Amino acid sequence: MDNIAEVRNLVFEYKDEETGASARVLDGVSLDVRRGEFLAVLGRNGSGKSTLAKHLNAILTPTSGKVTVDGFDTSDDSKLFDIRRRVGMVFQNPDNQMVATIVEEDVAFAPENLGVPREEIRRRVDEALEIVGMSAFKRHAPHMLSGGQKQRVAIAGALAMRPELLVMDEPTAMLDPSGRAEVIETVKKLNRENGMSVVLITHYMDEAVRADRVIVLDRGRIALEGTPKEVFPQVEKLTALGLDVPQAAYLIYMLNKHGLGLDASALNDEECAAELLRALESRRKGAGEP
Amino acid sequence: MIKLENVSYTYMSGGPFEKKALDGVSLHINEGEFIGVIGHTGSGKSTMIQLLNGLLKPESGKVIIDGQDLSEKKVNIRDIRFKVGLCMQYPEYQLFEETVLKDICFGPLNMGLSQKEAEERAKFAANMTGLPEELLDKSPFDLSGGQKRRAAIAGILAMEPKVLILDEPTAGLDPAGRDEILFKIRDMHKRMKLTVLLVSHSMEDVAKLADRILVLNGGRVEMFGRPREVFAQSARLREIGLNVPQITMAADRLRAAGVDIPEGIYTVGDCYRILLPMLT
Repeated sequence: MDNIAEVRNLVFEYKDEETGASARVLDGVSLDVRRGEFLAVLGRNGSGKSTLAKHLNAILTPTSGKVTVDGFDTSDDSKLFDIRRRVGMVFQNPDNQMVATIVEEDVAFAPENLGVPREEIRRRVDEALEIVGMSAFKRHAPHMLSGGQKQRVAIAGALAMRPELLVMDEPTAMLDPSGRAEVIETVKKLNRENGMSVVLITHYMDEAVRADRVIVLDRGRIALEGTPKEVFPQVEKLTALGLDVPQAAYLIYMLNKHGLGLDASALNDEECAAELLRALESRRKGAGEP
Repeated sequence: MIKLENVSYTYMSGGPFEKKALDGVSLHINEGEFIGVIGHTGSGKSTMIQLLNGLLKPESGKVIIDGQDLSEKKVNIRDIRFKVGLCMQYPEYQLFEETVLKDICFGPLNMGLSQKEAEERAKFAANMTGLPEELLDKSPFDLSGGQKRRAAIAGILAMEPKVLILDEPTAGLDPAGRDEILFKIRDMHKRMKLTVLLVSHSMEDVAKLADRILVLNGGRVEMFGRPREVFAQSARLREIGLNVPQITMAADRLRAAGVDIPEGIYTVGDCYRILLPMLT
């Protein structure tokens, strides 16, 4: 099977306790999460991003439609264990995810609950901490770590279950720039070197730019989908969807309004500068000709 | 309005975990200025803002607010707290009253204002932060994340401080929520003639609003100047672990390749205006 998760026509509604009216958060979402891919999900607050994430490990189940993980239907209660074992989750607030007073015990929490034998837990904990680069801190108290380090421990905790898919719901929202970089580098490495499938929910364009594929949600529906190079040049659409546009893409968009025909797929400062230099060079050559 | 003279502060002084958070900081902030404060975690930002409203006392040096030296015995720290409003990170966690209105009134009532005066100020402050009046009777816990944060800021504004210090006021918000809050802060600054210190990790946010940017590094003032002067030192900014706007880095690359583009570019608009004539 090429897809680790498949979402078909997913509708999710909940009843407002006060008014009794039902609110539709997801309104017919269909998507595949391919094995080994790094998928970023963007969208303004209230677009349904987190609700979608919670469907990927059966914290929520569809009002209608279907979600399967590795072939298991999330609406089938008897498959809950198989699904949760395959999907690791990391959330926004690192402090809410720590359960133990020592880093390695925190990482061991899930496999202990799964009844994994002692030696195997040891092996998995050491391996998971190694992958996220936190081995040196295994005997430390989690509350003494920085935000970025705590999130890396939370990732290690998810990895210790040997999941096939890692779903991260705004894991960097509460971190400073260096903490954000630490977490994203870790995720990128995990995806590239260990082949881990990753779904990253984020507000930050510079993080989404590094994914293989980007999905933008708006009012419970998929509004845009494609590679970063396909999605981010769509400056007007992104702005209308309440998202940021990378400055490099915005500059080229503004210049192209004058019919310059620059390659609009530049997503970082390096690509942007290279494209501008190419255009300046060709103009200089053009001007030099009789 | 604010003057620091050779201010130092050390945590756990004399112990094995001694940490010098501020080291001989001197600076001067004028009344009505909008200052962006940048520095990575551990640079001394938090210590500095706590010194400015008397939560901490300097180990050496002087902190002078509106002509009052905070280290003098006769200074009433309570008055300083009302004068310098401090909005901490994730201030929405500090909401606690039954209604939004009561929460915003908490500060002014504490200052000894009457119920009527406090409510008038609360309504004005809610309006300044863009909080609709019909939300004032709701429980603060029924508000959205962005609304909660506005309510918390309104609670500080209602005390009518002369200086407003905001520590990462946009952390965790989505781009639209972030822009709304930043524009409201700019409004408050202009209309209430506030002196504002905006502490942020985001160079882009600070660059949009600040008259001057203060860069702290290792407890010292690394840079303090207009945005253009600060971003002209982009190599140094990156060296001390700070992010530089993407457009500044792109402009730096063009200049390094021989394109005639000045240092310190930090907005897409500036870059566009310089490049367009070269390309058409």
